[in-house]
Amino acid sequence: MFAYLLKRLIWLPVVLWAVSSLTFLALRIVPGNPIQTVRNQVMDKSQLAQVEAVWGLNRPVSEQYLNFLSQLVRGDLGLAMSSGVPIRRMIFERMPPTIELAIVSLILSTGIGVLSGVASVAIRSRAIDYSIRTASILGLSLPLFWVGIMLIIIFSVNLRWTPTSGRIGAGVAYEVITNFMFYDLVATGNWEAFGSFLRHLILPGVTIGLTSAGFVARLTRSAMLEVMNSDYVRTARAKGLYERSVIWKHAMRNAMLPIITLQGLQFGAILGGAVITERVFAYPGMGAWLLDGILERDYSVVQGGIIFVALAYVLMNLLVDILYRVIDPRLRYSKT
Amino acid sequence: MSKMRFFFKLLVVLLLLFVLGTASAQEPQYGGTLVFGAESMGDSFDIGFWHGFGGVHVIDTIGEGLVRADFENGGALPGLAESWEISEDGLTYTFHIRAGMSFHDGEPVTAGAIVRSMTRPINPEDPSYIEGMYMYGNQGTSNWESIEATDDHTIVLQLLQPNATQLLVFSRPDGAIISPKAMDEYGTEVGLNMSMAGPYKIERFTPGQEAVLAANENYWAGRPYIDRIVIRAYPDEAGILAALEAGEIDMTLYAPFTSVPRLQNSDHIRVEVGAPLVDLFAGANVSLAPLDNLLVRQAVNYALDRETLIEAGLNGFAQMPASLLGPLDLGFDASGSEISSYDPERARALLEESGLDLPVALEVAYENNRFWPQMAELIAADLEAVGFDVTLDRLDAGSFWGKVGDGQTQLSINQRSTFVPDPHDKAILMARAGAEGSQTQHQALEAAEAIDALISAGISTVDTMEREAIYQELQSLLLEQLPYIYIGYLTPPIFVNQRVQNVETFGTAGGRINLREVWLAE
Amino acid sequence: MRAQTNMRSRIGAAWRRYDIALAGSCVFGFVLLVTILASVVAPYDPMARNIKNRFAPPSPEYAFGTDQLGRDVFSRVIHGGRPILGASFTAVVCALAAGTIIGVAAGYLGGWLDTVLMRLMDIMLSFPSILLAILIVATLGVGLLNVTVAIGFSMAPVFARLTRSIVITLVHEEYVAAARSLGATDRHIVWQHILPNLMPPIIVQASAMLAVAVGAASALNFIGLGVEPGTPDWGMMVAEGQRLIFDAPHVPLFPGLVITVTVLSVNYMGDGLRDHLDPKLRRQGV
Repeated sequence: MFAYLLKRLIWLPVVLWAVSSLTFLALRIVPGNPIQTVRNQVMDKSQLAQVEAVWGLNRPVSEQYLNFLSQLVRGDLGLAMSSGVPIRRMIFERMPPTIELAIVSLILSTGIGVLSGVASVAIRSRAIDYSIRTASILGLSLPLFWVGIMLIIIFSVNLRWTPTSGRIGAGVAYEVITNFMFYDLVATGNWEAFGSFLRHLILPGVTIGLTSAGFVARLTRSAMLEVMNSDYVRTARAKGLYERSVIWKHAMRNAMLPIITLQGLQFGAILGGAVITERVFAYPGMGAWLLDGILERDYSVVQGGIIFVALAYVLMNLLVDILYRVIDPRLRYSKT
Repeated sequence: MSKMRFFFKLLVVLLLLFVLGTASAQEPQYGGTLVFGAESMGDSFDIGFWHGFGGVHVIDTIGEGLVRADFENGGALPGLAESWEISEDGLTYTFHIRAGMSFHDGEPVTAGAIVRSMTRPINPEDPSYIEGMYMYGNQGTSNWESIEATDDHTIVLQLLQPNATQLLVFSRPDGAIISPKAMDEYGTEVGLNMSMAGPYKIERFTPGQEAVLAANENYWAGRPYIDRIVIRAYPDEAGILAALEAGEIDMTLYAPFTSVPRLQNSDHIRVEVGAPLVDLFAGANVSLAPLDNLLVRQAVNYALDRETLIEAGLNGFAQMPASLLGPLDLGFDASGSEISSYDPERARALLEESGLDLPVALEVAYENNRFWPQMAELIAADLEAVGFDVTLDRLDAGSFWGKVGDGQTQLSINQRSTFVPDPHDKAILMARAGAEGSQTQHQALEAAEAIDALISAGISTVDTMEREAIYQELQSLLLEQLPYIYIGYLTPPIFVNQRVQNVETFGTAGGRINLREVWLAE
Repeated sequence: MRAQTNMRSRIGAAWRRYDIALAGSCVFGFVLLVTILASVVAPYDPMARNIKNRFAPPSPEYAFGTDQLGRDVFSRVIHGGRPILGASFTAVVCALAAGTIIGVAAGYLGGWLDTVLMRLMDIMLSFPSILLAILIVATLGVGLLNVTVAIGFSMAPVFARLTRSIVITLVHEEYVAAARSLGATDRHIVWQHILPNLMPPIIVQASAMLAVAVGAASALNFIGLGVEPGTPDWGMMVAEGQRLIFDAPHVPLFPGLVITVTVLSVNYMGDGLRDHLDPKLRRQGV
């Protein structure tokens, strides 16, 4: 296990280097540069040239690349070209909200998914089977901006149960320590703000959770069916073992692998990819920030942001792989 | 005063009377919290950078420059400077700074502090200096020979060339004055901890999400009415509408126009109409075929059914266009309204006269946000009806400006809002980026020299009457050459909760909201 | 194994097992037919504007009402399947082909090839797919082909990973080991033992990914990077109509419903196909 871990960790810098280089390259290929975008309207030609020189945009791409790498190695992500704010500061602002959203949506989708998966087998009704199937496909195919706005109309505008958007109520006072509100608000005992924070997480959490809840349900269901039809459960039943505990123990063990894989991937995807949800719910996370960065051609924002997303993603994958090995002994002997 | 302006003011007065009548003419009240829905919220309020309109709204609410702009009547109003003199030759400005003012952090507002803030972008020694600040290009610093505080209450600015817009650019968001204490304390991160001298101060700022502003008890013009203003980002149009419906926000400019008819009948929302300060137009790149041909540009001009464009594309929230300048601008020439009329037969005839093979291939570039896609679609249909073969080039903002900057677009549709009430703000569009980066690439015109000369004369002439004549000449030259084809003057709807009173609709229309006089009814 | 079931009950069981799958196939067949015959079926020209009749609610004349430019939403829905379905199908098929080849190669051959391929996939996956798609479209320009490329490119690693994870478990199965000990070639093992077992989960994944592709195509439109505005396209119609949800809900609602029904029918079809193909399920007669 230790050797495996080491091997994977050695890969980490390689993956990060490749991802950041690809990002760098992609940004140089996309037409438009960060200075032209908004600045075109406020600067004349000589000012443009001057500012481009400040950011090194007038140098050859190869030189820009070497500069970028040497900065990166020193851990310097630079300043956002559009706003002059240090990227590390922006990561501090944007990463925690997205991680919180990812965690909440994974808890919601796993909980809902496993429960309904189990229910569908326990109740043995085709109607339930199919509604779970339908829900899972809907969760995947319905455009998120559509689901989001529907939830807002129902729960925020009509029922007034939840706020429409944002991370916390307008003007609610709180103290920022780590910018993880789950910690900050509990540590400072600010329960009013905590309540507001939780209520703001529900709709975006559900919106994202829907994309995988149905999937989890299906995985649970098929794992349970497989277990129930397997020889050892029949044997166990024949021996008169209490059915529920048998199902739980074996089926969950069986279902865990694919669920972990799915949710691990999903977690990684949410970190930088909850673009639409974050936009519809005006949630100040990484996805919305990176989208703006791409649209404004803010090279330093996109380069810096993607590295963090990739880092989190790779670490999450590593965790999934480790869990895999803990759960499924067969893989311990595989060649990788 | 032009006729248009008079009628517009009359209209506004009538509207105001109506509104006041329905609001039973209450006395302004103090207190309450107003939530303003912005299209974005920046990551910083450093005035050296552009942070979207959300950032502009915050800076306009917390900041104050030497002067403020009077969007209703044109010209400058006293700000941190209670009065000023400009020498005959227009080169020496003497500002008299109000006594007894302080920044939000308690630091006194002195002439020295103001000069330090104003020279921040050209002073690499300053601890808060950031290489690459670009917004200051607007402040005219390259034309300053010297600026100094002769005593605590006097600033003398010496220019190299006369600059008719110099006074008004101090009212831009990038002209807001920053506390020297904040500049020392926070250095390059001063934008995250902004301390200024405007009517509200920052209580809390969550980058990308919201700024909570509290009334500045020590504001020189007296404490503003509202206790707290929250400016919050709602990037999605349907999302902002939902927030408005749910009563979460009290005021916004960014809800979809299509919702106006319904909201006008709502019992808790009111829609006010902004002044026509924003120009919508198509820039014709005169350096590339086929728009290098005047006949083709004229054909484009007459092909556009502007009434339908305004009705279907903008839900009627625009006035018919006349020229590059708007009806409220100095020197506005209304004669262009005739040129901007719909005449498809004439357009077709002009196109045939141009000698080009029909259909004439034409690319129309536009940004992929707000009402632009729909406008482009309608424009394309109008153009195809008279013999163009249109390719729509939908671009994200980055690609759009990249392409425009490289002179690669043919017809590109866009807008210009007035950040200060001066015609130069619109005329400079052509001269920006040394013409080569502009939508029209007008240096290819024979009249280019004359156009450039008029643009420079417009800014270097100090006398108002003379300027008026210059801008009229510029407008008729542009109508003759048609590097711009005008679409309309946007009169954007301003969505407010019924309890919001005394909304200023002039600056607001151009994106410069002014909340210092606004108050909330019970 | 219960092989001795008589013919009639087997057909009956098949009906019971596949009813929804068959219903799905019928619905999808219908959608395809209408899409192909769009210009014959649609009552109006999908591009014909009538500014005076904007936002007309559904009526006998305009079954789904009219949109912001007074165009017939029903005709636009009929015409609107081709771009989004074409792009999504092409993207999924390409991603499936590429992903399966990579996954089988990595999982079956193992060793350094596995490591390199999977790290490559990691790199691609660690790039948020929607951002990857946005970058690709921003670079290549707006248009259907570029949307297809963007979606296909971002999906290939998903198939590769899934394939590999299945192949890894399969190579440890007794029957593969048995085949190998009997001297079967790699090619034989891959074709006879790996691929047949791989297909059912891959087909289910593909039908699910089609749902994802349709969602992604709509999302690109929402960000403004999809097809040309005005093009009748379900994704575009929902994206453009989203802001009208309060004021003219019929404009985004109908194309949204059609997307849902179509994707559902494809997925039911995929499920049925999986049940049919899965040797294990057939053995167990679930």
